[in-house]
Amino acid sequence: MNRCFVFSMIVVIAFILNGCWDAYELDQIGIVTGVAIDKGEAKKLKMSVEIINAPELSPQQSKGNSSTVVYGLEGNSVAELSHKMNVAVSKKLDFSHLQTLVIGESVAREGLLDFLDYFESSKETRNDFDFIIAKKVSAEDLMSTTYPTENIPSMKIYSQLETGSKEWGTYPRVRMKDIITAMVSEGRQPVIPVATVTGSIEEGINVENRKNVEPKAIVTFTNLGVFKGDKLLGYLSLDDTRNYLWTQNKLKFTSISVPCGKNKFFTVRAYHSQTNIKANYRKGEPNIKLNIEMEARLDEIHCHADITKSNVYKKLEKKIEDHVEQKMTATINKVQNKYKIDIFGFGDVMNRQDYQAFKKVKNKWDEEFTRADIAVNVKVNLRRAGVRTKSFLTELKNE
Amino acid sequence: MNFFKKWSSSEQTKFHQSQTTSEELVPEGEKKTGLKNHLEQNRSLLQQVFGDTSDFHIEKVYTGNREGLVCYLESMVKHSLISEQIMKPLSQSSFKQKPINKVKDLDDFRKSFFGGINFHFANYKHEAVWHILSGCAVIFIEGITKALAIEINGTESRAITEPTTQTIVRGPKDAFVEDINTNISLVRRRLKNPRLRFETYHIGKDTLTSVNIGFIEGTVNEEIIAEVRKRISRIDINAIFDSGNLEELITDKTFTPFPTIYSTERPDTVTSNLIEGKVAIFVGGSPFILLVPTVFTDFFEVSEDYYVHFFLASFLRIIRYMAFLIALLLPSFYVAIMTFHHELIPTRLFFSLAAQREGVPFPTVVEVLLMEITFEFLREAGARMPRAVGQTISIVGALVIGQAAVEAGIVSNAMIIIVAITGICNYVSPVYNFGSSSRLLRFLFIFFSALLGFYGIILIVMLLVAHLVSLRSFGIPYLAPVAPFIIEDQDDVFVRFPIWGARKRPSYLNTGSPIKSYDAKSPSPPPKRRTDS
Repeated sequence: MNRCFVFSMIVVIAFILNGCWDAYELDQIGIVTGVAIDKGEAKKLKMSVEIINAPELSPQQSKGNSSTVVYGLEGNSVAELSHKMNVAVSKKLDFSHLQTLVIGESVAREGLLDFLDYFESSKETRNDFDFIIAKKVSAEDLMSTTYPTENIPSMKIYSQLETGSKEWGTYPRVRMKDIITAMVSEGRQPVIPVATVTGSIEEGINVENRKNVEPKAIVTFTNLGVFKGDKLLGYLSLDDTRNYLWTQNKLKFTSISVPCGKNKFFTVRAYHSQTNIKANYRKGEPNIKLNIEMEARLDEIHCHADITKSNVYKKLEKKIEDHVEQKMTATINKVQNKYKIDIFGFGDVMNRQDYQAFKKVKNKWDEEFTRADIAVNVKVNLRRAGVRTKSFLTELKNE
Repeated sequence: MNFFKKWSSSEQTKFHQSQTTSEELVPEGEKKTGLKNHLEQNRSLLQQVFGDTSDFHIEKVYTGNREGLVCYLESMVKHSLISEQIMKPLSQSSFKQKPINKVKDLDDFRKSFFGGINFHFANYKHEAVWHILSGCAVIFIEGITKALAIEINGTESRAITEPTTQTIVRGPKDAFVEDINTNISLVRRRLKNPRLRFETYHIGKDTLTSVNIGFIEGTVNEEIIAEVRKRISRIDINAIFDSGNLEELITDKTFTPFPTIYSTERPDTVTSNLIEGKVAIFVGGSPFILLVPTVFTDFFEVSEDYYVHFFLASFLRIIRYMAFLIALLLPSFYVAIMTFHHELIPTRLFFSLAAQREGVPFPTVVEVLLMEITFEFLREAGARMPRAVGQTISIVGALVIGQAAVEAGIVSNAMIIIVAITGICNYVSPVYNFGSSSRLLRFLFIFFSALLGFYGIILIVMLLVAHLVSLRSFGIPYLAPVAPFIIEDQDDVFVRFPIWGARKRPSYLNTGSPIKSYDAKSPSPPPKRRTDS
C-alpha cells in the first residue's frame, strides 16, 4: 500500500510539475538562420538577425519575394537583443537553426567577442554554426547579400564553407567550441575565416540580384583572420590558409600546382593526407617537427614527361615535396615573425608530448613559438595519373 | 515458476464448481427426474419442457413387440437422415426383432438397427432434453426407463474457405468455420498424434455453447491446463456467442489494451502452437480459436514465417516490430518535435515543414487529432458499410479528406504523410486485435506529447513498460522471453533460426518435454565423389 502510494505520487509529480510553457508552433516562431554582430553607434553592439520567410522556401508556395528578412537593432548585450527584436519583427525568434554568425571587422579588432558567452550558455542554440568575419563591409550587409541558387544567404555561406573546406582547403570550419578552447588555451590562438562582398553592396541586398547571370554582388572568402585572444591581429592569405589546415590535419583533399618549367605547371590532387606533429624541447630550444604524408593523383601536366616510367613519378614526387615544404615553412615563418602568436596549436601538442617543459613556459608560449625551430617534412606518394598514359601534348608538332 | 504456484494456491480456496450442465435445462425441483415406464408419461414430460414449439416432433413407432416414441427437433436434424437412419430400420424391426423386455436389451436393439451411428443413453429427463436440443432423435420404448438418443444432426454450416483476416501468401489456405466439429477435425487432420486430447464443456445457461479445450498430453504444462480447466469451469454467464466473449471471461487482466490471449482462424497456427505446448480453446459458433498462454512476441509472428526462408522471415519480424513502434509513437513524435523540440529536425527539413505549417489555422496537436480521428471514422465506416458502397468511401476518403484538406490549408502535407504511415503501420500486425492496442494508446501518447513533449512521451513509455511487465497470461510473464530475458528462447523471437536450428520448445512455457527434435541437422550436399582413383 505504501509502495503503491509512493509510486503514484512519483507519477503525479512527474506529470504536474511540468507544462507546455515552452511549446511554440512552427508558425509562431521566426527561424533565425544568421546573426550578424556589428559595432553599434550609440550602444555597444548592433545585432542583426536573418529570419526566414518559410513559404518562399517552398517551390509550390514561392511568389518570388525575399525569402529572408534582416533586421538590426542596437543594444548592449546579445541576450537582451535576441528577445527585443520584436520592436520590428512579428514572431518569437528561434535560434536553434542558426547557420552562420558574422562578426564585423571592427568588433573583432576591438575584441568585443564577449557576447559569445550568450551563445555558449544558451540552451536553445546548437553549436554547429560557423563563424566568419566581414572585412571592409558591415556584417549585416554581408549576411544580406543574395545568391541565385541558394535562397538563404547564410545557408549559402554555410554550404560554401562546408564545400570549400573539403574541396581545396580554402578555409577552416570554425565552430564556437574551437574559438573558445583556442581563446582559453595557453598553447593556441583562434582563427576565423574572413569574407567580403565583391561588387555593389546596394544591389547585393536585393532579391533582383538573384536574377543576374553574373551576380552584382557576391560573398567571397578572402583571408584567414588571426586572433590574439579575442582581438583580431591581421589576415593570412588563402594559400596560407591551406597550409594552416595542413598543420591541423584537417586537409582531406586539395590540388597543388607545382612549376615544372617556364610558365609550365603540373597539378596533383592530394588525398589521404595525414599530418603528425612531434614537439619537444631540445637543449632549451622548442623543436617542432611536422611530418605530412599524403597520396596524390596526377591531374594535369604541361611539361613533357613519360608518365609510364616510375622514375618520372619519383621526380615529380620530389618536386611536390620540395614545393609544399617550402610553402609551408614560409607560412609558418610568416606567422612566427609577423604575428608572433601560435595559431597552429603547437603549444597544445607540446603540452601533451613534453609536459614538463611546457609547464615552465606556458605563460609565455607565444614568445617561445616565435623562436621555435620548426621543420616540415613532406612525403608524397604519387599513385596514378588520369585515364591517359600518353598526353596529347606530346604529339603537338611545334614542341 | 514460483509466481505461478503462489498465484494458483491463493486462488484454490475460492474455487467452486459452477459449470453449466444440462441439469439446468429443467426447473429447479425436477433435477434428477428419472424417465418413466410409460410412453405417455414420458411424452407429457417432454411436452411440458418443450411446450408447443412448432419444430418439436413426436412420432409414434413400433419396435418389434412394443410401442415407441421418436422425438426430435425438426430444425436440428436432417430430414433425409430421419427417414433413412431411424424410420426405415424401425419399420423393419417388427420382423426380426428380439423382444425388448429389459433395460439392457436396449443396447442389443441399438446394435442391430443403429450400429455405427453416434449414440447416447438417457436415464434422466434432463438428459433426454439435452440430446433433443443437440440434434439427436431420442427413442423411447414402452416399459423401458431408458431412452436411446441417435445423433442425426444435420444442420447446414458454412464451407471451409480462405481466411478473411489472417491471410498469407504461401502456406495452407483453409480457415476455421463456425461449426466446432469441423474445426476440431481441421486440427486433428493435421496432427495425427494419439496424445492430442479434447475436453468438452458447455457454457452459458441459455446458449449451452460447446467449448472444447485441446492440448497434447505430455507436451503441455500440466499447471497451465489445470488453470484453463479451472477458469472455464468458473464461468457463470448466460450466453457465449463468440470466442471473444470467452476471452474476456478467462483473461488474466481485463483493464489492459493488450490482448493476453491469441486468437486465430488458421488451423496451421493452432496446430503449431499445440505442438509448442500451448492450449487451444474452441468455441462453438466462432471461427476464431483461442490460444493460451500468449506472450507479447506471439503477436509479431505469422505461420508464414515458417514457410518462407528464414532470412526473409527474420527481416519481416523486425519490420513488424518497427511498424508497431511507428504506429504507436509517430504522431506523438511529430507533435513533440513540431511544438517543443525544433532543434532536432534537420535544418532543410525544418524549412520545408515550416513552409507547410504557414497558414494552417490549428495547433499541431489539433491538426493531428483531427486527422487521426478522421482516419478512425474512415476505417470504421470501411469495416461496417455494405460492400456495394465501398467505392464511395475510398473516393471520399482519398480525395476529399486527403487532397482537399491540404489544398484548403486546413492541414499540412506532412500531417497527411504522418497519418498515412501510422495507418499503414497499424495494419502490419498479423493479429487484428493486437493492432487495437497501438490504436488506442496512440491517442494517449499524442495527448501527453502535446502537453510535455518528449518528456511526456518518455513518461508514458515508462508507465507502459511497467504495465507490460506486470501482465501475465495464464501465469506466464507477458514479456517473456524478453523480460525475463531467456537466452535459449531467442531462436524464435526477433529473428527466426532455421527450423533445424530451433530444437527446443519455449522454456517459459515449462512444457512436459522441452525438446522438439533431438537430431535435427542442417541439410548438406552429398560428399564429393573421388573420380581419380
